[in-house]
Amino acid sequence: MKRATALGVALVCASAALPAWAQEEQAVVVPEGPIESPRSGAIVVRAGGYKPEIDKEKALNGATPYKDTFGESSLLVIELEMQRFFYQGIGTAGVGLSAGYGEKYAAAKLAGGGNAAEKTALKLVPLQLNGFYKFDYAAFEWGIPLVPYGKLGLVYTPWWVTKGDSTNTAQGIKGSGGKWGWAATAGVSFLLDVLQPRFARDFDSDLGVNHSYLFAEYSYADVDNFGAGGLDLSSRRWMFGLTLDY
Amino acid sequence: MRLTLAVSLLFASAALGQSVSFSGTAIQSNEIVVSKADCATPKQVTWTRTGNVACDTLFIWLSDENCTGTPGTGDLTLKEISQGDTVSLTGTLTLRMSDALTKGGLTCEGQTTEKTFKLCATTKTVDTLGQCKDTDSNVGTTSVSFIFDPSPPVAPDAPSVTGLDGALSVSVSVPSTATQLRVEVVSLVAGEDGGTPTAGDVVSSKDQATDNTTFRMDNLENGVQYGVRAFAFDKAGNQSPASALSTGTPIPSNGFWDAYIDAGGKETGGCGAGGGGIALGAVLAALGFWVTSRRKQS
Repeated sequence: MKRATALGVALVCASAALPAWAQEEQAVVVPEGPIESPRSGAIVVRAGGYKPEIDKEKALNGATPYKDTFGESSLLVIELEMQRFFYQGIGTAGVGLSAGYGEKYAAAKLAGGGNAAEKTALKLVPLQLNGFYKFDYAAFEWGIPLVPYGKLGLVYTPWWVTKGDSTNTAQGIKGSGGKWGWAATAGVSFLLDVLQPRFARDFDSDLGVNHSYLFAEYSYADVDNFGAGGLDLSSRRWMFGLTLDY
Repeated sequence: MRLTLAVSLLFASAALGQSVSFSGTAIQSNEIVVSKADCATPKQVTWTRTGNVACDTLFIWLSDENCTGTPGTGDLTLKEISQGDTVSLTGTLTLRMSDALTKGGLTCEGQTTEKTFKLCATTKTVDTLGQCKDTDSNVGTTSVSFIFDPSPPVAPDAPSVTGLDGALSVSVSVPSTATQLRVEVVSLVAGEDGGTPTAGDVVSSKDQATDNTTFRMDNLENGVQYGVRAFAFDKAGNQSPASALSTGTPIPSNGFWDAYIDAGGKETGGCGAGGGGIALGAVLAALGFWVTSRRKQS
């Protein structure tokens, strides 16, 4: 009986010890650098001036209704873009979808040309689907914190004009619609991680934000229903913003 | 002895929890405010009670002082629930300011200042040892004031009027007790011997809460001079006298769209989406869903 008990105790001890022994045999790989979470997309927030080329419409014969109403200033546009990466190697490529909003208010005009108390406004919602490529290889591999990039996209911009608190109608035509077009964008991002590497690592481990950038970009957009005429919402504009890779 | 104590404690715990709550659409911010015009108008309030009426009658009443004791001669009793009643758990009260004033020897016409009554629920409650207290105390959990407000707000200042296209923009000052404003656009009747014009028929009217003091009065004729006056209303619905009459004239103006069309712009509006546009829109929507819906792999 004593021998059987001793055998049982030995078996239990052995069964408990075996997994531990097996674990000790497994190789533990310790990464050399900090561990980074997988990167799959980005969120981009940007703002900038948007001056539509309305006064360049040929049918206007040199008349300048935009300038006469709003002066030389631009609409302030704010945009949010969601990007999805489908290639990460020598740089990063993917598709992005952005939506924005911009508006410009001015006084309506009296018959004599003076300013009325009534306000008129042009409002836009620029939507864009684009493909992009950014050369971030140098930033990640060589430590150069500048990332040049380019985008090519399809644009659709709903727009409407108000006077007072309703949509402006003139000669029976309601002042609202949507315009198709295309846009090409080039820009450069500054990788903020280089300023506070430890904060950047915490940002990744805590929130999953791999990298953050400040950027400036220039867009060449033809938004005139591909030359079909009518209201020309084309623009050549600078935008500035923040990108968060996640 | 122990059994008696246990039973009395059990009884006391149920009695200690007795309470009466009041609810109803007439109650706004724990107040029911009535004007002189509504002095005899009934206001419905629902009462609901919990616990036992263990010691004495439960009174629901209107007091012009505090909710303590039992209703006096000047107080209006609305409901009595007898000791031991386990059936009457909820019901509806009908409050009339005229009744409350009359009980106190007052009248709707004679009362020229604000008068406040408290909606009370009082009874003798049980103390922690299971003994009934000597005096009635308040068991109402909702503090409701029934207020007679016979005084209208003062008239707003003469409104500031700006001419818009087919409309007038009217800015109104708010008297201190006002909660609602009304602006009326009226036709003008010429004064005698070319004197100051007076208000004629009401052309349009609009009410707004006092947090928005700018009114846009639409559907007016350009080039026609109109009179504009404002009224203030307090919580009770008392209407102030009319403000002094201002005048304004709608003026035609051109918005940006007018300027564009007048200049020969060829835009005809619409979404610019033929069959191809709709297809592209569908592609955009699908890709947008794909871009935003996939979760991060980790």
